[in-house]
Order: sequence, then structure tokens, then C-alpha cells
Amino acid sequence: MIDVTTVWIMLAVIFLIFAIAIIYRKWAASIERYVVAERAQSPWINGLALFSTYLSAWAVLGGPGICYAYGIVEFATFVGWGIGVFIILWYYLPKIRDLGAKYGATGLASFMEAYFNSRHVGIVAGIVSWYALLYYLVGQIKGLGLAFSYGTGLKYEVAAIVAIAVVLVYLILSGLKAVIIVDAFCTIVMIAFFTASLYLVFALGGGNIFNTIEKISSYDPRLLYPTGAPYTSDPISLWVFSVLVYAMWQFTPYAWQNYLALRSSKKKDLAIFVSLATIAGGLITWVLILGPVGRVFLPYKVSPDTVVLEVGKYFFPSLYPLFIVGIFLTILATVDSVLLAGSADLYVAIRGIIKPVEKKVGAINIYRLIMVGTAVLASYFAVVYTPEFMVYTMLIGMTGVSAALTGPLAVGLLWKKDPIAADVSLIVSLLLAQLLVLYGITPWLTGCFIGLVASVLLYITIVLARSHR
Amino acid sequence: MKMERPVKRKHFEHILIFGINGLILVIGIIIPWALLFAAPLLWVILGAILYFIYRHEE
Repeated sequence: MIDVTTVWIMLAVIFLIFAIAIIYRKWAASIERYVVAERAQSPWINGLALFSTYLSAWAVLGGPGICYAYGIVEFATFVGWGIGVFIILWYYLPKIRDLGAKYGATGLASFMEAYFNSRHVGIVAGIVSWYALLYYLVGQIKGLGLAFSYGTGLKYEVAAIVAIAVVLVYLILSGLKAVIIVDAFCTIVMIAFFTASLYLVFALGGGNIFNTIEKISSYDPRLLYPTGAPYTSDPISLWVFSVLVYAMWQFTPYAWQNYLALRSSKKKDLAIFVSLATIAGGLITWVLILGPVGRVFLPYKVSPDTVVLEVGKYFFPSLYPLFIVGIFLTILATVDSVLLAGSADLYVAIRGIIKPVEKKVGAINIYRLIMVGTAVLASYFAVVYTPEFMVYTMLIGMTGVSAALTGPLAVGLLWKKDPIAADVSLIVSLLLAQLLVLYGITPWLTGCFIGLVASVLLYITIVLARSHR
Repeated sequence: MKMERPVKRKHFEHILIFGINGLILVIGIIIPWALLFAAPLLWVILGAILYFIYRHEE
């Protein structure tokens, strides 16, 4: 059933996004502006942008789905992640931002190439990063298509293609500047959607949240004190594990454009940027709680992935459009950053062989071509596989790979820079984490963790072996 | 004496960051649902204190 209000709101939002892109089209005419927005973005707007860039289909669809099935286990994932964000960004970000500016880095791969002073590290990092982001993108496009089809009544396949086309239009026009402003706008809508979710939790308890909590607890206390599934059997280890994994997550390639675009590494700016980026982990709990709420209060069973939409539709029909648009924009904000970072990284890898073409069409057009190619490839996979396949399966797990692949960089920034060690650990961590996740040997979070530990150990071993030759 | 203040400030900064994030972790383990309010609130407070400390930094 098509809700006309939602369709109009969707159209208005898309129109606004296009307007933003058109405004900055001329400004973004150079590479430095197109890919890293002149490294001069305010921490307020950039922090707000990172807020929604971080939160993906996993946060607003898969996370509540897990909470629907197993209780608020995802609080550990997201809040643990926030702890990791704060600690790592506070200590690492100034270094990344300043070195990035010194090297003229346009993304993770180009940073690594300059940092390790090695062309082959740039090639390997570029390919590994693009490959991992491609998988990640497929999962995100599935979420995007699902939200768009709920909002507009279009068939999932059509909705996914239209939604990715919208993203491509503003990316092609204005690059990172449009991404940052659109994402900041997405964050504001997202906060409204989160607040509506929390309001619903209050409302279901007659205005008192303790009543809601009590009802959930009396239905099944494990929904509020999850002791196991799906990740581990003991809450303390789950928390420590989440903080460790997500601390490394900060090296995930699609956040690097925002790091590099920050106007300075002053602690004053850092406090704003890091706090805004972190609060995302805290506020997402307002949506995650809808999982157990749906389980207890909805009179019928739903598919876990759609619990937020079902809860919104059943209890809050007047604000249902906000739920749809909030979910759509949250995922959109991730998709645009992933596409941009993926193209910036692949460009570094293939720079050598595309020189003749680049001379003819210009570097920015090469970025645009890579973006379109990546989007077409990812959309194909997203359309071929059914939506049920999405969110908490392997594709989202590939973010784990992108976290693991940056292990060598994390260690390299603290310790010795060895290009061979970086190459080997990047490739091995990618293959290992992919093997573990794709073939279901471990859940995605564990796969990510094992890949990460392996990459760090391998890096240290090779550095030691080479220094004692 | 002039050198002492930034060092003290740095210690305070580390204690603050690890203390508040540690507190969030402990709350998460003991009463997970309390994070609905505790996590965003504590991070806003942490960010505000850090901003306040470094607001005059050039």
C-alpha cells in the first residue's frame, strides 16, 4: 500500500539533496575539493555528517532485528563501538589528519602509499579497500532499496536502482562537500527519528519508561539482560570484545574522507568532532530497544529485519513517514561515503594503467566513472539476491574485513613502517576474515576480530624478521 | 611551575576519557537498558568538558 504523504516527503528530500549538490557543483571542480573538501570542514558539520555515515542498514534494520530475536545484545556492539570511537579518534585522529594534509592524501589507500613510502602498498591497499567496500555496499543497497520500496511502494528491485541513482547524481555533481552537507542533514532527520522511537517506548508505558521496561522484563528478563546469543555466552566478554573490535573499526576506509576533510587537529575541534561521532553509538540504542518492544507489544510476529518499520506502522501511524525517511536517509548517508571512499581508493590502485585515459578526461571524471562502475556492480548483486538475504548475513560482515585490513596501519602508526609487512598482512587479513565470515565458520564480528588479530600479529612478525636479517 | 599545568591537564584528560568511557562500559554490563540515557548523556558531558578545557587553544 502506498502512503502518499511518505512519497511526497521522499520526493521533497531528494529534491533538497539535488539542490545542495547543484549549489556546490562549481565549488567542487578541483580534485582537492572533490575528494577531501579542501581539508577545511568545520568539526560541527563534519561530526554531524560522520554521525549518520557510521550508522548503516545494520544499525537501523539488522540491529533491532537481532534485539527482537535475542534481547538488547546489540547495545554492547554499538555502545562498545562508541567507546572505541572516542578513545581511538581522540588519540589517532590528529595524527591521521595532519599526516594526510602533509602527504596530500585523498583517502585511506593514498595515505598508506605515502605513509609506507611504497607504491605496491598503495596498490594492495586500494584493491583490498575497494573490494571490501564493494561487499559492504551490496548490503547497504539492499537496506536502501528496502526502505525506499517501503516508502514509495515501488518493487524492491526498482527501488534499489532508483535510490542508488539518487546517490550517484549528487556524488557525481559535488563529491565530498555534497556528501558532508547531505549527511549532516541526514543526521538531523535521523535524530528526529530516534527521538520518535524513544517517545514510543515512553508512550507504551503510559508515559513512564519504567513501565515499558517492567513489561519487557516480565515477558522475558533475558531480553533486557542478554546472556549469550548470538555472539558469546558471557556479557562481560561481549562488552570487552566489542570495545576492542570497534576501536580498530575507526580505520575503516569510508570514514577516512571525513577525517581528512577536518579543518584542523586542534583539541577544541577534536572535542566537537569526536563527541558528535560518538553520540551516534549512544542514540542508536533508542532504535535498538524497538526490537524487544516489538517482540513484547506487537500482537503478531514479524520478520526481524522489519521490526522497526512494523512497530512504527502499528503504534505510530502518524509518524510512520518519519520512520521510513529516517531509515532511508541513515542508509543513504552510509552509501554515499562508501562509494566515494571506494572510488578514491581504487583510483590509487589503478592510477598507473589509466594515465592515458586520465589525460583525456581528467582525474575527477575517472573518480566519477569508478563510482558509477562500483554502484552498477553492487546494485547488480543487491538486486539478484533477495532482500531476506540482507543485513545480518555475510555482506554486512565485510565491514569487519575493512576494519581488519587497516590493522597494519594502526600498528604502523605506532611502530615501524614496513611496506612488505603491510602488503602481506592486508592480503591475509582480508582473505582470512572473508573465509571465516562467508563460509559461516564464525559470526561476522568474530571473523572480523580474528582477521584483525592475525593482521597485527603477521605485521609484527614480518617487521621483526626483516629487521634481524 | 609554568611547565606543570599542561602536564597536569594531560593527565586529567586521560583520566577523564578512560574514566567516563569505563563508566559507560560498567553501566552496560550491569544495567544494559540504562544506556538509553547514560551513554549519550555521558558522552555529551565528556565532549563538553574537553571542549571547555581546550577552548582557548590556538
